[in-house]
Amino acid sequence: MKIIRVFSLLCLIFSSFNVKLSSQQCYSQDLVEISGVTFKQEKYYVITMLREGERIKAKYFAAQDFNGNNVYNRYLEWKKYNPNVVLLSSGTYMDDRGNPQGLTIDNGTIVNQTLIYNKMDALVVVYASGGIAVSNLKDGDLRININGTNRVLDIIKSSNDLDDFIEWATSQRATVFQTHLLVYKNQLKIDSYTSNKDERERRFLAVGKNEDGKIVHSIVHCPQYSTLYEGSKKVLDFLTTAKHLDITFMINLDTGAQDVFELYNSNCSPNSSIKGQLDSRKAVNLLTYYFK
Amino acid sequence: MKLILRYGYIFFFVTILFVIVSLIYKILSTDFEFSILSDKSGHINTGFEIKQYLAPEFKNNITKLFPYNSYIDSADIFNIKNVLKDLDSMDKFTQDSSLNRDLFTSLLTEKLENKIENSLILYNPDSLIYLLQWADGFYHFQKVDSKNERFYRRVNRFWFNLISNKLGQFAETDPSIKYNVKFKYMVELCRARMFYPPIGNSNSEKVLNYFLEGKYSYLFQRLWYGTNIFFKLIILFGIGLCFYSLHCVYKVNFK
Repeated sequence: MKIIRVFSLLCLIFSSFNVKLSSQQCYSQDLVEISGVTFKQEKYYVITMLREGERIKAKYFAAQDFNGNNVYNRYLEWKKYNPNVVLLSSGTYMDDRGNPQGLTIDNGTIVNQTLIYNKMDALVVVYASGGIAVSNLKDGDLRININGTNRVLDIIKSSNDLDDFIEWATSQRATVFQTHLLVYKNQLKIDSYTSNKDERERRFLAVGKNEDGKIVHSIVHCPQYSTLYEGSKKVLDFLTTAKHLDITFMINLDTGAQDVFELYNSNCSPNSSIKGQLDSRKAVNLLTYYFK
Repeated sequence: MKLILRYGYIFFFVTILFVIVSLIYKILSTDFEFSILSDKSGHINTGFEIKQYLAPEFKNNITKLFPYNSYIDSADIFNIKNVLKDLDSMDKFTQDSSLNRDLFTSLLTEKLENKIENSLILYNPDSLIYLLQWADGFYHFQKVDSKNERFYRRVNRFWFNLISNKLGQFAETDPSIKYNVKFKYMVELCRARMFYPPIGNSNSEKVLNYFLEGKYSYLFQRLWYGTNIFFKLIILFGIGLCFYSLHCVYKVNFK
């Protein structure tokens, strides 16, 4: 009799917990769509996020902080105040010691000052407002506002411009990182000869405007193994043809040795349609999208 | 059958010998030379005087008319104290310290790079170390001379950035230089100043790292999905041969 009582009590607790979970709402389904699409005999998983009203925001953790808190612990600490996470993904590449490659500034703190000249043309700026902007470094037209003056910087060719940009980013507590620029203004920016020939799963972040002219952030995951060039070409075709997206930029998200990815449904439950190969605790950098 | 067993036995030892010889060759071919040149700044007196170039007609258009090439060729630019002395003379001449610092930044960064760019094409560790040590001096000066902080920072940032990129390029062209002591010294100096050279691991290094880190499932996945059928067959053949050799050794000695 006692066992039955304990069992029924446990059932009651469990069911009330379940009810609580299912009633929880992490984000509005009107702003985030998770879908699996087959296009030209290839499977794509797409997370489409509308930036309308700036409710969906991005946050980037570039490295561990100076107190030694690793990226995942920093994320957990931040999550206490921002619990409505849509997804988290590994971001840019790391070197042989696990440091982020290319110019990296995390919330105003300089992590890596080396601006890679000829391999990574995308300079990504993640604003505190949750927006993301990418500049094509080869164009030399990085636009920022320094002390009320609009300036166009060429940080590759001018050492003064690079210095001004780094000082601006630190003073504004901006987050900056460098990665491969795959597509810029609907044009493929990598070529098959110089790009990495390794075949693997591919994951991209594309930002552009949909048919209604609204700003859309899309994460596209291609489970079929391909080179960076082939994958970019296929996804450009998919997004412009099937999704009618006017792409401003598309960058690569690392699916190599630090492949981390977690996706959540609107009711906050984990969505297993896309999963990274590594535990998120091993992340060396993290790109997060959340609802506020 | 006996013949096959004997050859299997020999094959096993030849494989072990091959691995050992390869390792020894790798160790011997690594450059352990470590004689870093001493800092020579302050020991050269070129007799150069900037005042001879400061004609009154230059005053209004100094950035255009300044003799950049002559200055780089003649002045002891690798002595920061000399540079500061000239900067002081310029300040007295133009009365515009901001303009002079911008001019000298340009002089010691882009103009100097244009002048020496040919010597930076090939990997020459002594030249790179000399440049890096000189640029590092500006890092220390910026800590104590707040008046010229921006000038020091810009020169330091330019050269560390350039050399960091160059180290990445050299390592990509010849991955074996990553193990050279001088190369490591430069990489560590750059890292200490938060300039991480873009140096990745080669595929074989990655395999070894994943193996040591115990990422066996990831390794298997990469092998299974990321390689072509010929590579898989070669790996299978190698593993088969190893097991066969062990089987032969066991049969000859323990049965």
